[in-house]
Amino acid sequence: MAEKVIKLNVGKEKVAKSNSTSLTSITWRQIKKNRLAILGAITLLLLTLIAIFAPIISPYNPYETNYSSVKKPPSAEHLLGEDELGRDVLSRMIYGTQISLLIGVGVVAIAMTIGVPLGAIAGFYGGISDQIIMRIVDILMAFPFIVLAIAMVSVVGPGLLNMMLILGGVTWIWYTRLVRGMVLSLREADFVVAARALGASNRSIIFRHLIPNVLGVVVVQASFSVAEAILASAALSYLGLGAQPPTAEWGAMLSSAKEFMRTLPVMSIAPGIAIMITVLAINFIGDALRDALDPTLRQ
Amino acid sequence: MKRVHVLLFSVLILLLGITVAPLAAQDEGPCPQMGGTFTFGVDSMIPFDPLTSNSDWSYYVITNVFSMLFRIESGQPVPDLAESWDISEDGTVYTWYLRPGMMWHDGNEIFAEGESREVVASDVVYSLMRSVEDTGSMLPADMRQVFESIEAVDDYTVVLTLNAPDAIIYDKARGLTMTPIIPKEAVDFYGDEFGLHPIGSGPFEFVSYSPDEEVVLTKNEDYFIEPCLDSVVVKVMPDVSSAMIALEAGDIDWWGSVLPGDDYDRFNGDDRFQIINFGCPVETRITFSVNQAPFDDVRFRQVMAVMKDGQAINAALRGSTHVHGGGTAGPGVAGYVEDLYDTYYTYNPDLAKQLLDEIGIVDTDGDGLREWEGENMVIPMYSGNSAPFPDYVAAMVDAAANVGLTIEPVITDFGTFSATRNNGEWGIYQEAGWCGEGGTNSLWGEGGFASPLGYADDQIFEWLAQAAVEMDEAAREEQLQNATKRIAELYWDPSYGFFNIFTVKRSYVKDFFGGEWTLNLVTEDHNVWIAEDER
Repeated sequence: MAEKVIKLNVGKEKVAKSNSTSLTSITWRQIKKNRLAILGAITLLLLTLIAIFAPIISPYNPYETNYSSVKKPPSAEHLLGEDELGRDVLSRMIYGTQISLLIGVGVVAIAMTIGVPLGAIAGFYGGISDQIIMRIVDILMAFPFIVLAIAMVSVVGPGLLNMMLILGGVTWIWYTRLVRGMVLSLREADFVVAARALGASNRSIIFRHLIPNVLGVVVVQASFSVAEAILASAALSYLGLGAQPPTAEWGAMLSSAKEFMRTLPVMSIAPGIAIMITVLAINFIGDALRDALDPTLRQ
Repeated sequence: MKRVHVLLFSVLILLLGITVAPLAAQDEGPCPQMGGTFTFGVDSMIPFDPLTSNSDWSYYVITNVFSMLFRIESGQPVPDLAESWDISEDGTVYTWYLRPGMMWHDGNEIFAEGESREVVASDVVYSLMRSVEDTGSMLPADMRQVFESIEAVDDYTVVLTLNAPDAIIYDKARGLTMTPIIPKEAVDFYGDEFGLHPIGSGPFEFVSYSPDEEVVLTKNEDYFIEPCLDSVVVKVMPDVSSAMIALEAGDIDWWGSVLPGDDYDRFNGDDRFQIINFGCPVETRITFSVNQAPFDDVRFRQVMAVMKDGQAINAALRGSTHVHGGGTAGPGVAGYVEDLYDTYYTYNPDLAKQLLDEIGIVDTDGDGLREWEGENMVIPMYSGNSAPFPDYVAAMVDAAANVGLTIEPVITDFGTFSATRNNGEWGIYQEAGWCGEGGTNSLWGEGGFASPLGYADDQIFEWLAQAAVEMDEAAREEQLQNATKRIAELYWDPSYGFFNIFTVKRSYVKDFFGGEWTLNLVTEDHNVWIAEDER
């Protein structure tokens, strides 16, 4: 009997793989048609390359101070000028790409790790576990997540890692809610009934059958969440609750640059535009993914 | 007929004169325009119990809600609760004669509307003794040192006896300059929360306090001088750039915290604004938890002093308000030592590395970071979050990295910073402040403001104690300078240099005396009013 189950499972995996490839190709075809998505993807790729090769392409050490040349406007030597401690703004912008992308991906990874399994458990088991999980979600959703994040940072203290953990810790509810709804509609589906009939355990059904089936929607949510996380981290850093000085993070740079908004506007404009471009690029990709993965929106 | 006309005309002129003359006289009086709200901004605010409040900006509220024995204007005492006072020939006995009819604010949980009571001598005794008996109170070190006794002779007479004359009893924010008189029944009722419900007898009554937002005060009709203003609103604005925009837009009438160098240059010479100098340069410094290793080693403290280019950092961050030098007392203040910075604090990263090697804080694993007690050394550096303090921390991070040390910034609101400091947590503290000759004593004297971090040196205590009672100016100068040099030799407070404190107000705020740590909105000499037509 055990051998049979294994064989059947293997067979199912093959079918699933074949479906997955088909879905991937459909999705890719859809995305290719979307010019904004391509623009977003190219931008994101460029930003990723900038982040990876920051130490090579950065003209100066982003943390090196030069007190004899502070608050200087753009020049041939310093394309975006120098800040209040004489640091090269362009170099800090380049290194800021690393931090922002890391925050975006890190926060979403934390949120998905918590939110997806909890949503699947709530949707699959229902009953008391669903009640407990969803009431917690309801309570957390009653607060604007940025307010909740500010409150939590004020308790545990500011810092990059704390900020990532907190943003992940307050945004997992989005995934839980989403996945629970999907699982509720899928738990009586034929493939779940078949898996159960073949003796698959609940755990196996959740992690091997249900979660892979909702991942498409989760990926769309994640793409938007990366943008949200970058914006939220910039907001927290702007308020002094995120990255601490002298970390070259765009929100923190924006925060310190506001003191010189009148005299040296480029210091504010540069990180502001960087945040905007990154968020826009990710949102373009997210939009395209949503359109591609949703059959009702598919062209 | 002509005579009748002349007569009628004369009567008219006379009547007109009788009617207009008082109005004209009123225009030249203390309140040319009554009413209005004076709104000002500060970058932080903590509760208002004089026992524990260590924020200069909170004292702006405290000194208007509470009456004090006297107030200081242009370095001279002016009467407040005490109408007058005598000083014995040897300078050790002060007899204060209180003003009859000064009433506690009413319409609150302690004194119902119309059921207040008079402020009497026993209230003064209670208020001062509350500070004396609490060793952690904000009572200036010089006063704690010379205090002998205080006694209420009758309802309107208080006798304060000192064991030696206090040379700085009228110094800015020292001596007895800050003597807010508080009602015992309010302290008994509110306990530790008295600071959130301040009840006094000053020119303005407390209405509300929304932490990190605003404080609202309203005019005290029963004060012995009627305030020109109807109300005072204090906005808490940690973001200085927003505050500057608010000032330009007229949303605030005065920026009471430190004016950044760039903004000084911008407002200076603009008729719509008036820049006010606090009158003495203030040092930016770092302090440490000196009773904990390795900060208990003077060489390590010296490392912190010379690894950074303090003057360059201060000049970059303070702009045109930067002043070269070091020490608690700045140029023009008793105890100032001209060559102190150049002698002790000159930038020398090579010396810093050499000293670290000597102490045994070395890089053994070749990763470029020095180890202490078997691990890479990571030192927390605490700072408030208002500009430009975080930038000083950033500069320290860079300076430390250059000698192989790692500084981990801990930037928080001022209240958290203050609590961390008072707990004496291990690490470096980014600080600034203290001016006037009493500042040296208040900061470094026995039981002074630096004491929670473990600062204690008998020799310094002795010199400062002598200076506090030394009436001869030259001798006092020498004692203060001795103390200042020893503080530097011990590398207690590596300096970045001084900065001049400027605040800026709108020109339509009239008869404004300025801050100087206390804010005197209503005195016999000044009664602030708003020229609404000039807004």
